[in-house]
Amino acid sequence: MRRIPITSRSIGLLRPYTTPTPYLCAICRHQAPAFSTSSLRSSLDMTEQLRRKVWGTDNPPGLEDPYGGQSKFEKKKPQPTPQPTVAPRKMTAAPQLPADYVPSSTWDGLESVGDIWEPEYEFGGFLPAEMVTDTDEMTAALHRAMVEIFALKQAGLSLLDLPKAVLGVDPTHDVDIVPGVDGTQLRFNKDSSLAEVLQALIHDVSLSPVDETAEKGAPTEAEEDVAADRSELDPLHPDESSTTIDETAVKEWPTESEEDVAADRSEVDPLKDSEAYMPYEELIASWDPSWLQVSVEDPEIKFAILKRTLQLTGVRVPDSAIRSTRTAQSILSHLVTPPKPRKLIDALEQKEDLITLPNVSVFAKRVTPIHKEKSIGRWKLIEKELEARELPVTGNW
Amino acid sequence: MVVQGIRKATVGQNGVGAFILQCKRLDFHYCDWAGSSKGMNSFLRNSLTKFAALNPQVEITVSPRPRRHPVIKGTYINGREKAICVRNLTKEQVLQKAELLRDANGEKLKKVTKPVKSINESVRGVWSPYHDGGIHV
Repeated sequence: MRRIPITSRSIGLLRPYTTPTPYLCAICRHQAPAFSTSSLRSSLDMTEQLRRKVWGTDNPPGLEDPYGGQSKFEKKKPQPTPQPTVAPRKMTAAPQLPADYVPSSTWDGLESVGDIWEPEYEFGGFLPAEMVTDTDEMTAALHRAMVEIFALKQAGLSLLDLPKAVLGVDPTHDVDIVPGVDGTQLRFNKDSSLAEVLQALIHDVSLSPVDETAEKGAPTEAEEDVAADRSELDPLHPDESSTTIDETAVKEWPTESEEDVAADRSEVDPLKDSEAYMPYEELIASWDPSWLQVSVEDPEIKFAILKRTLQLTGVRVPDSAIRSTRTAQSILSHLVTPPKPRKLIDALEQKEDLITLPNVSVFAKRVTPIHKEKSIGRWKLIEKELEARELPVTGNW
Repeated sequence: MVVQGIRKATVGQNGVGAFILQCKRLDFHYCDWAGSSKGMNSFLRNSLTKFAALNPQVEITVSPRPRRHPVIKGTYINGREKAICVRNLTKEQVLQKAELLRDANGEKLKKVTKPVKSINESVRGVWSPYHDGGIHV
């Protein structure tokens, strides 16, 4: 039986529009319904729809609500809570773009895609990029930290205001730390002075060119002048003006100060050439070995030394170990850890109490029967007998 | 060749006059690479010092035995040797094996069938109060 196409059914005549449909292919004409039998979803509620049907108009007479208000149930319904208004976000000032900045619409020819690199937001860490692993270098760093901290204490400065940047030149090479009955003392030898050490620290902090002149003058002055220096240095430190200078110095750091610092270093280096290239072994040997017995029981000093050492070397002393450290030697023992032995024999040879036991013998290589014969002096006889019988002298050596 | 005692009419009893530990040497063999030596290596690192100090009359040697399972070898004054493979054992288990070898007398393991071991066994056996008719008061 031939099917009547959908479009030509009698119900199709009820279509709301009578305009001829645009061209449809035969398949589409079959499948696409020309009308929908489902009711239209209106935005009106059921009551309103009924009212309109009853009155037969779209504008039925009478009040919208003939009972003069909401019903009890509607009143009980929870009112939709108003959405909490979000406080408008404070717009931070956009970084100042250069005047000739034109945003690019394509990435062709761009060196990098993304935000403009802003040097002031660059992260500068407290720790050095590379951790010190050399034992002698570590020892020298601890010595430097101790000299600097004790120098700060001697000068009456705050121990925690350490410079962020570490100056390449170390003025503490020629300083001995001497444990004393009435506290630890610093002994400055011919090429060093308290002022020089302090200047290096303060110089690091402020990075201001004013200090340069002071640094040049300081080494020639005697230690008695330190008190006078102190009066110059102290106001710099807690003063607000100096802190503001610091901030600007930090901000200007990548643009201008870098060159200044490089220039500073080039000025300082020639003075210290002979010391700077001294091998660490000789340097450590030149110090009075009693510096390792210096007490660091004062928590403030201990913390400051550990902080400075961390900054210089990048090696962290575990918190659990900090409590038990009492001398410089004990700090050093935590900083300098012997490399983990790869072989058991290395681990056993480090155990002094095992090696010294009279009934224990440890061998690095496999013990063969020949070794056993040799240990009781029989191998020579065996060898001789084997040769006499013209037999091969073989075995595991 | 082990030094033997002089033959004599009476039989010596270890511990009657003096006690002589029968184990005279313990050899500890380990491998650095193999995982079966893990417990043994841990024992040698951590427990051997104490064990050796507690047993000064036992000669202790430690030597590697590459690509082999870890072994403890005991040498006894009767000339025999006992070896125990301690592969995959923990540190504590290795210590137990070392103590076992130390306490051993070096003889072959025998099946114990009699409740009493004596060098002068009585033909009558052990007296028992329950197997002789009892005591009538």
